[in-house]
Amino acid sequence: MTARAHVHAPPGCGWLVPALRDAGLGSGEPEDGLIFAQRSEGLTSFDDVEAEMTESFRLTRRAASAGAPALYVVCIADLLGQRGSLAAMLANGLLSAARSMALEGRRDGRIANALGHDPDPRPEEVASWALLLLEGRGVTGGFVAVGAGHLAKVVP
Amino acid sequence: MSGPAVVTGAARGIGRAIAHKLAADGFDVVAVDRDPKVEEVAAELGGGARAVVCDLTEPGGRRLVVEAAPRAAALVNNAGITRDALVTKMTEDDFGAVIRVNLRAAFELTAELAPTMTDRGAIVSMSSRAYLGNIGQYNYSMSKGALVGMTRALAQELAPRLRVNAVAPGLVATDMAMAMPAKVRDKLVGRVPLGRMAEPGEIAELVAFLVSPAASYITGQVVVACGGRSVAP
Ligand SMILES: NC(=O)c1ccc[n+]([C@@H]2O[C@H](COP(=O)([O-])OP(=O)(O)OC[C@H]3O[C@@H](n4cnc5c(N)ncnc54)[C@H](O)[C@@H]3O)[C@@H](O)[C@H]2O)c1
Repeated sequence: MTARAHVHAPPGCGWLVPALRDAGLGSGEPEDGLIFAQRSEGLTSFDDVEAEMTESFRLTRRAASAGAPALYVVCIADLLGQRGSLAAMLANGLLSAARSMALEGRRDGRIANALGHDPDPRPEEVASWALLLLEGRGVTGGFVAVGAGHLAKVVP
Repeated sequence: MSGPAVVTGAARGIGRAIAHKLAADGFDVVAVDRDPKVEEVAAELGGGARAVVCDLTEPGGRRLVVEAAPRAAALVNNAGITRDALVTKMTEDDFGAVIRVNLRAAFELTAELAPTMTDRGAIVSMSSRAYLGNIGQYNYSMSKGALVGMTRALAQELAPRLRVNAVAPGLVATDMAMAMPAKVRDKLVGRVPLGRMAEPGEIAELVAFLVSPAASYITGQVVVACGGRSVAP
């Protein structure tokens, strides 16, 4: 069990950090493990999107260099483009990043996954799946939808 | 056709093939590229075609495009670059360059041009099969996934006036693909059930369909044209 990870929880994701702590995750560096949550609030221009994407790159590079696992947490409504282009670009960009990281890490056993949740998630449910997906247990490049927003839709 | 069609990255490769196909279908093509060779492409097309030489990452460059294409009926966001490396070796410059050309330029141009487009117009953005993941392409894959997200969002925002779709090609025989080491390219082609790269014209046919009235009920979708690679082992 990866007990420690760096959690990137920008505006709109404040609920994630306490939920992960309650689920047993200790705070750590990206070199221990990375949970990168998609910013969903306060995106006003492409600059905000690029800033988050660049941060995801910096943190992912640190995690990957140390062989640590990565998990990208996105909102399903944004994967579907239901809340505007800026959030949609970020959510889908992070999902693609998770898939590419899973491929790059395959040879040396480094895992990457993605988790989607609804706009009003139950934090404890997201957190418990997040810990499982960070640990992997044979899952890499996977996408787990927590909630119902993906039903009968094209996601992922 | 009821208005011009803007095609970015039209100096060569897939963009050039799209420009030719849309011109053959009756559009007055506005062929855009930072490479001045795009002027030769516009000359090949004849008719009402014209070239705009500009860097789409520059606001001034995009303004030239908007001015050159009043009441456009179609926009094809095709310009793109690669800067491949494993994420552990990728530089921040390589990350940013790909995001700015492949994504920001397409997003900003679409935001600037869409309000001026004719009703029942269509937008197609060039994603890539790499949006499903690729080794050595954290930057490119992210940019192409984000274009899919942009497509889904704009399809809802701009409906019912405009349709918005994306195309995700696998390997296409252009300078971009030829820039890969031959060994890598051959290995990738070996995983394609159809046993070959796509020709640029095959992708152009798909784009032409998506902007045409034949696709009048299709919006918010990404069509993967990869010779079957995305379902093969
Ligand atoms: N070739 C492939 O295998 C392949 C596969 C999937 C997707 N794609 C995508 O298809 C599109 C076209 O690819 P291609 O293979 O024809 O590439 P290409 O390199 O042959 O052509 C790309 C064109 O875009 C132009 N361009 C790049 N940056 C620009 C900028 N800032 N402003 C204006 N013009 C700019 C270039 O000058 C060039 O003419 C790209 O978006 C690419 O990512 C290509």
